[in-house]
Amino acid sequence: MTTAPTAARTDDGSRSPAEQTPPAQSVVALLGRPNSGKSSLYNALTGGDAKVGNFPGVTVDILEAAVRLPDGSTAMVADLPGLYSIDAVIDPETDEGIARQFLDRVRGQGTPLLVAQVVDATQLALGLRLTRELSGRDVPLLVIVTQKDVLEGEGRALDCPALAEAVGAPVVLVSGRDPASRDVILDAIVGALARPKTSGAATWDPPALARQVLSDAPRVSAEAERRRTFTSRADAVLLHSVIGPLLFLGLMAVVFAAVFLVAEPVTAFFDTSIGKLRGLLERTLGAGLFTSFLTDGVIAGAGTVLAYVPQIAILTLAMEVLDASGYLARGAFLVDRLLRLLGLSGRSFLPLLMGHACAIPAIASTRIIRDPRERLTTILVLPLMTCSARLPTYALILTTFFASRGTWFKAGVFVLLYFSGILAGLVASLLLRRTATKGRSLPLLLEMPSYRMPEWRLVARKGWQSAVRFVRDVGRAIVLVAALLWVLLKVPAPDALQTAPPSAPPIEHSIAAAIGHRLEPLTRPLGFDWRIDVGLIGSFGAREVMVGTMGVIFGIEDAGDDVSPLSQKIREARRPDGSPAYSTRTALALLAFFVLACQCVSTLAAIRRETKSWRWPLFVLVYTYSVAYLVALIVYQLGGLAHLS
Amino acid sequence: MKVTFMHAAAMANVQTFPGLPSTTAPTAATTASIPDESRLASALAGQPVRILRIVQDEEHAAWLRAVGMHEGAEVQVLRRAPFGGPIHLRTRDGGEFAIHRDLARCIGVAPIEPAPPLHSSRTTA
Repeated sequence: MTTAPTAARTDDGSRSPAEQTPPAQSVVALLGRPNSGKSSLYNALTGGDAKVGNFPGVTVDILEAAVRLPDGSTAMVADLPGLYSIDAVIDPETDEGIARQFLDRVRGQGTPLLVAQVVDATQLALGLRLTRELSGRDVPLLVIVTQKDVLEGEGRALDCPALAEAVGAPVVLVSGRDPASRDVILDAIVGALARPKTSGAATWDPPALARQVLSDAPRVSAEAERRRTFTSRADAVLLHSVIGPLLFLGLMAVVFAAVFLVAEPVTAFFDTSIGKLRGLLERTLGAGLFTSFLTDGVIAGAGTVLAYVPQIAILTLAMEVLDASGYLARGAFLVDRLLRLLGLSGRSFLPLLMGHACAIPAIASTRIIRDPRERLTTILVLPLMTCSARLPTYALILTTFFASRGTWFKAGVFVLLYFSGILAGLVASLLLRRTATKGRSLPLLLEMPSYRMPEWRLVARKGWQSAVRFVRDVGRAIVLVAALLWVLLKVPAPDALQTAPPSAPPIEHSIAAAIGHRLEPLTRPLGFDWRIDVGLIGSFGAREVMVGTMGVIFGIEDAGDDVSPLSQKIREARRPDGSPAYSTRTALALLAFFVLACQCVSTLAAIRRETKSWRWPLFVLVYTYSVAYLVALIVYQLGGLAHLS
Repeated sequence: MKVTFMHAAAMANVQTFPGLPSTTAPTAATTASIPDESRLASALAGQPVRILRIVQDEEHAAWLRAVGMHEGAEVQVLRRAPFGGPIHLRTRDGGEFAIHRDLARCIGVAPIEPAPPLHSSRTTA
């Protein structure tokens, strides 16, 4: 017996002894339209036990769990992405393509495969279209019709034998809320696996068959009718051409504020905790290089990871609630035209908006974008959105170089910087759609599901899972880079690299300073001296480190709390020849650099996680830094021509 | 007839088109055969219409079929998004979809008179 390909590994390549299960003897692929109740059925079958399967090249998580069948064998139950059609595949990276690759691979392994299609009884005709495609396939099929309780509540029945006869596959009618359903389905799975497959071209008409097999057939399901009436009424307001967009923007503002505002207290809490931990370590280990490595390097990095977790969880919860309630599709409908300007669609709106708080959760949230190329484009332009980590540097530069200007001027520059990010995103997106991510897109076919109450348990589980996966997949990279940057900033460079006099502060003897001095010829056309270069090296891992690093260079403690002493020092900084080291030109060039460069290892790690390849994070790193360098160069040189001092 | 799943490698070879994103907007030449007034994109909100023809390549047509939009099917436009955005419509199965206006321009329709209730049991062959 071969091991199912899906059973072999978790996505980090290891598996804990607790997860050991006997090799699966068959694979049951749960398949169905989006919103067919597939996820809740998966939870009922597997008891919520789920791990993410490892499928090379597949960028969508496929959950799977081993389930013991009544006949004693073990089946691997896989929850495939929701889809409308298995025949119409435009791109192997769409949900449809992924499902088909999965089925191909299992069949290629020779493991017995059963396709279990989940159909919502209140939308039988819709589900039967997919059934018709599946019944023409050379693979055993089981049709699981859900919402039995709703049908019974209306005094209606489904003629399962007639339906089974027509589609040529066994049919079971269950209710996702009824615990007894699990045994019914497992028995049916055993039966369906043993059943010889008779495939043939299906010729029946889905709506006609649906009317035929539902008793009281002419009437459309009362539950569906009630839901549709509610949906029509709600849509009259929520999709109203004036009220609709206003409500949508208001709702987005609330979600945005929740993500944005939650970061502050949590980060403050972690700062305090890290301060206490640092004190504790210094008392036990004594202040020294190793203690500093632990506190300023490793623990600070871990603090960064944890600080992102609440944002990720809140955004995931918001997205899941919006998606499960049916509103997300409405929002995409309302703003689709706007996003077309960027070569994207309505589904990209929420991730792009959230990118203005933080790119990390926003990148994770691009999972709602069905079109693989559009999703990739959105991921690649997200680092250009003005995230909150840029703000301290913006504030420092404005206070330092535009101190004499009024509040309105500074506010105006801030707004301008936000728009620069959006403009850069627009240009990048249009260029990418013609180059790196060009190709056919899915036709815009957005299902507008009836509104329904989200299943809170499922939503909560998604939020929890996304947080755990972030810590596991992205956290490692962040901590590693934090440790590496610590070495660069704190470890003295070998004598051969030394350029600073022995009396200079320790950072001038660091490896970073040595690199900064060597970078100076390269960055001089941008107006950056070695000190700014060291700041840029320090902020390679995270932009918000810029202000702190500059503080260390200029010998200011806690520059993050009050920037005025630091900006004073920066204004007074002199070149070796005595002229001022920085000017308004430098400030503008530095602002341009910060608008464009992806100075965030967490973002790169998140891109790696979502695209499952190093290619795209490297691409983002190279393109944003190149463009940042180029634009900063142009700004500085143009500033020189305009005689800006 | 035995239909097998297309091999992944074969799928990766699906022809891609140069230039901007989608083929949802075929050239003027291919859609010119549909008069303006009988395109789904021009259908009045609330008016049930029957799909007469779909000018799309086979794969996009298959997508449309999968959601119940095929030649002979009845659909009803519910509303249009502002500023030339997508069109919200309902199919006879009871499914509701938003489709891009360019895609709706490639679908030729004729009004159904008199307008029957959309969810009636009446089969309209």
